[in-house]
Amino acid sequence: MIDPIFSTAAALALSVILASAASHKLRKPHWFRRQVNEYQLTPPLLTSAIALALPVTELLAATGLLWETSRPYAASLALALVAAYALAIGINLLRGRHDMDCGCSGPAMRQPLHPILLLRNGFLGVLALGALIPAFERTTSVHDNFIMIAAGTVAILLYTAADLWLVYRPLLLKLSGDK
Amino acid sequence: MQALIVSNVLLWLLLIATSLVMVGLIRQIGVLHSRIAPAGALMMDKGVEVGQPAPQVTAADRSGRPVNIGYAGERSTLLFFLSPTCPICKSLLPAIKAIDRSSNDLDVIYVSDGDPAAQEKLIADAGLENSHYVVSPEVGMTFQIGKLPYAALIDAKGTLKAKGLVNSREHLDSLFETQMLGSSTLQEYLKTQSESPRVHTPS
Repeated sequence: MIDPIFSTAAALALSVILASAASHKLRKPHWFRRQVNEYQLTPPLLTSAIALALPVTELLAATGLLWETSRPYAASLALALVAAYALAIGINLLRGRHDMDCGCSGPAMRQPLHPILLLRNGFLGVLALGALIPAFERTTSVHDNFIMIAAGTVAILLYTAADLWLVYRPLLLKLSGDK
Repeated sequence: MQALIVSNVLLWLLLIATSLVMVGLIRQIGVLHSRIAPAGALMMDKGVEVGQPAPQVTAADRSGRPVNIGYAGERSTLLFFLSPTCPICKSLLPAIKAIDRSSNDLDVIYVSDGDPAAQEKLIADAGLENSHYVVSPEVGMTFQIGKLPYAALIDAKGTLKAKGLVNSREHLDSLFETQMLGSSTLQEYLKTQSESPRVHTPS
């Protein structure tokens, strides 16, 4: 049992992050189909189906997280998604494919696979766990609601900043010739 | 209790603002990266050496008037070598025109080569009707220009002060910078800096 502030803030942040990820994938279906193929984990016949199913699942989880009744199911779904992505990245890292595009930050930004991406997924997993663990009943005041929204916003902003940082890091390393 | 709540709300707002600034700063890194990303390969330099008298050539401009290049005169000269078939040359034309407008003691001469119809179109598009525009392969051959866009800066005494491949406004400005510093290349500038003990150079 945790305080409802943690649960709601985590659910809000995760919902926005999932919705933004789903919108990238649904707006550029060709790009995402190629991306799914790139990972070389699924039979080519299923590529189209998976490329459609993943963003739809993300959207479902994002919507479900917003209501308290559906939150545990949506959070489990989100946790499964994040774990599946981490597994896909992990397998390709083990195969030694450090140069392939991760596809993590949308079609506009290329980002090579790196173990640190697993840490990023770990953060998303913690958010999903936060939304999954049942919160105890207590009446929430206006101040509590404010903190939920504020904490969710800060989590989203920090995630965006870390994400951009991860995208630019290899570019800057390339400039200085370290990699 | 009231004070604690106010302080808490304020801290949250400040934390949101700090995170926003951080996202903004990291975005700027990306913008900066796209500005300083490699622009082109270096090339071997040929032709007249910087610091030597520039070769003296006379060519006719569009209306048949002779244009003297490399002779001593009252003003320095910026030669800009371009071609209608070179897209980067066209993107640099506004910068060259701005330099032409802003300096009183500098003549800008456009040196081009190629199809006359394409030249006319370029002149009309870029608004160069009143500029010194020379279509002459001889000038390019005399200065041994291999790559475009290329620029050469000749001072009033007819000495070649700086020259180089120019891919951006920064490259153009660096030509004037070398003239101002009195060193023809960056390497030479660094060398004179390290030899003089009074001037501090970051190591």
